Amino acid sequence: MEAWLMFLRGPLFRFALVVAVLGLMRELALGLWGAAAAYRQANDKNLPWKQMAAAAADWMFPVRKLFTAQRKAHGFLSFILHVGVIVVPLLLLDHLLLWGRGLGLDLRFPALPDSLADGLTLITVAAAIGLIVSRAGSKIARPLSHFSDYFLLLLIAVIFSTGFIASRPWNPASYQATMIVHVLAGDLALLLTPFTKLAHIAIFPVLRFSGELAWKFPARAGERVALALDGKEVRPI
Amino acid sequence: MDTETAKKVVEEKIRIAPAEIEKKKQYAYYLDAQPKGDLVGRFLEAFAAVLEHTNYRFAIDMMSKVSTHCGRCATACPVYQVTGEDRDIPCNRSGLLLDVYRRHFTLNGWLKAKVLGDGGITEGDIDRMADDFYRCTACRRCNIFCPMGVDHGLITHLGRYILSEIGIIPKALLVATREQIDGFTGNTSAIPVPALKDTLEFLEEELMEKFNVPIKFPIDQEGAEYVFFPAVSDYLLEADTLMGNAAVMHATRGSWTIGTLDYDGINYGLFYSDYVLGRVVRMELTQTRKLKGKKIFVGECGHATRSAWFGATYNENGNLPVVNCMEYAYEQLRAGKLKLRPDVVTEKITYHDPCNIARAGKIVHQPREVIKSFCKNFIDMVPNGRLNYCCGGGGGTVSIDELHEFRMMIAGKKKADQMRETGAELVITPCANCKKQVEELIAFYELPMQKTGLHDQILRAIVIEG
Repeated sequence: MEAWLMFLRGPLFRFALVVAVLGLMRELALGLWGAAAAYRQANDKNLPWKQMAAAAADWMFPVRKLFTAQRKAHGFLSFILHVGVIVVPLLLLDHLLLWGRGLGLDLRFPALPDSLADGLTLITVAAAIGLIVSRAGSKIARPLSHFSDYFLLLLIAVIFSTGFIASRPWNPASYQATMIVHVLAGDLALLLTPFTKLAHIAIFPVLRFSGELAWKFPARAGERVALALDGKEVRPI
Repeated sequence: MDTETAKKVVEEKIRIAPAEIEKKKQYAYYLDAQPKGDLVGRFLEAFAAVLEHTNYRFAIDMMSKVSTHCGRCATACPVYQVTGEDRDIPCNRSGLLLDVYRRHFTLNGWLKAKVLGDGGITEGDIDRMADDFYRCTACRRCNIFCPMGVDHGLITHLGRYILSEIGIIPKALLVATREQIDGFTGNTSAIPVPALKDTLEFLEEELMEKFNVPIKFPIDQEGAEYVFFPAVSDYLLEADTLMGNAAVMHATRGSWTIGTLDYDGINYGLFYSDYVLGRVVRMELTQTRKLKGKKIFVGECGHATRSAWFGATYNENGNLPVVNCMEYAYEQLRAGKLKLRPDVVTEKITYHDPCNIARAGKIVHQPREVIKSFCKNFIDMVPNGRLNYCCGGGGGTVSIDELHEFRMMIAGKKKADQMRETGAELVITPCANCKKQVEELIAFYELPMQKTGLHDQILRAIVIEG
């Protein structure tokens, strides 16, 4: 079992991390490349940059939106979930020790105090479960939801809850078994990141700008489509 | 009818509306001719051509990857808020097209289809898109509420564009556009030049009677600063708006003209086709250049203004500024050239923001400042400005008579509620499409108010010096 655990948090983790980083970089590069091409082709390059940046910032740090946006419960849970999944994996002492060991550095200094890390972990699990319940119970969100919308939340809940209970004395399963689930789920989340909606981690800012930019059509796009479909640029209506 | 009774009557009507609408025909609107051939193949071919030659691909590619499916768009949508139907959730509707994109134009979708044996898009999917994309008024309110910034208005526009390329276009929009681009009169209301001139003469006589001063509608005057493009239907329906326009130009000594080559600001291309959008915009540009005009001057019309803004997209020979008549009136008021009496208009007034000029926040405060300068009894709707609700006739639906029940009972209900709440006697709605819709809503819901244009009220309050 120990060998399995070593494999999961060694080679598989490194592989998953490389897939996630390269995959996200690819998504970002594709997005930027597409945006740059669209901008280059657009005759009208006058975009409301300030307004677009303000809207992006408003949603990237959605403190104000917590109180003004609709579906407040969903928004609140989602906000907590985001704080948890960003802060805990990065600043947990055990994770920092692992990173330190791997990189040969002492990275303990920014670690969260244990009690705060535990609290955040539990809140994150609660938020993930709350979001699953809210999604399944919402007349609006339920018909929109795909399998992956539930699965990713479940995955986060599994990662955080197994991480929390692994070394507790009351853990009914063995430390190793719990950690295997924890690390396997974490590796899976990393592997899925570029191929699911988690890709917004990388492309969110470009995405926020894409709507406005896409309205800036190339000057002759309509004619080129007509030519491709009808063989002539000017056609009767 | 009191408010409560009116609400009950309307709610009863809404309950039966969707079934009634669906019984009538294949789509909720008429087509000019049934599209022929292999619809699925043609749709995919058109989609591929659009993806290759336009700027949509990168945007819908990202949108298709990271939609959160949170449903906030539905809370913003005036259609969904009334029907509560899954099909009217903006994210669901956009999903119709994004699913086709994922399935047929991405590697992931191709692989997934191989594994799961998904046969791909069917004629049924096309029928659903044909119906559902015309249940969206393209007001883009949901865009403001989407955490990811998915622009469902853009996707509706794209969906309609692809459908138009295989011949699925509401007949009402197509016939009007055909007359505008290929027809004898060159405008959507088929008003020939002699009839236009007669109308303008009549309006000049009316102005003379009112002010005892000759106020002109200049025709084909070369070198005028502003070349005027109202919604051409104003020449048939909105005499007071046009007289208000002329009075403002007269009072401010504005240099303007109406061209007889093109005098129609309406551009249904904004609602269904980039090809049409471009051609109609170029007609405006050609007319303006021919008259050596310096600016495109748009009358009271939201979509005419927004489509004229596309001049910067289609004008490959330098830019021509676009000025909406309300922006002009506001600037002239600030400069002290436009004088409005504060004691003539005493009614309680509210203002409806046309989505096409308000959603981006471009023309929001200007008309309000003008109104407040002559009206002491102004009340705003809640919400308003960038967050306004669509009148329910946006996206070309107001011109499609077959969608009347949908516009009244569903898409416009939120606006009717808003208007009723204000208790106003006059609703200023500076847009040809919104005017028609708001007038019909007032009649349908028996609201104790009248629709009017901003320039209609300016006409009442303006000071004309001999």
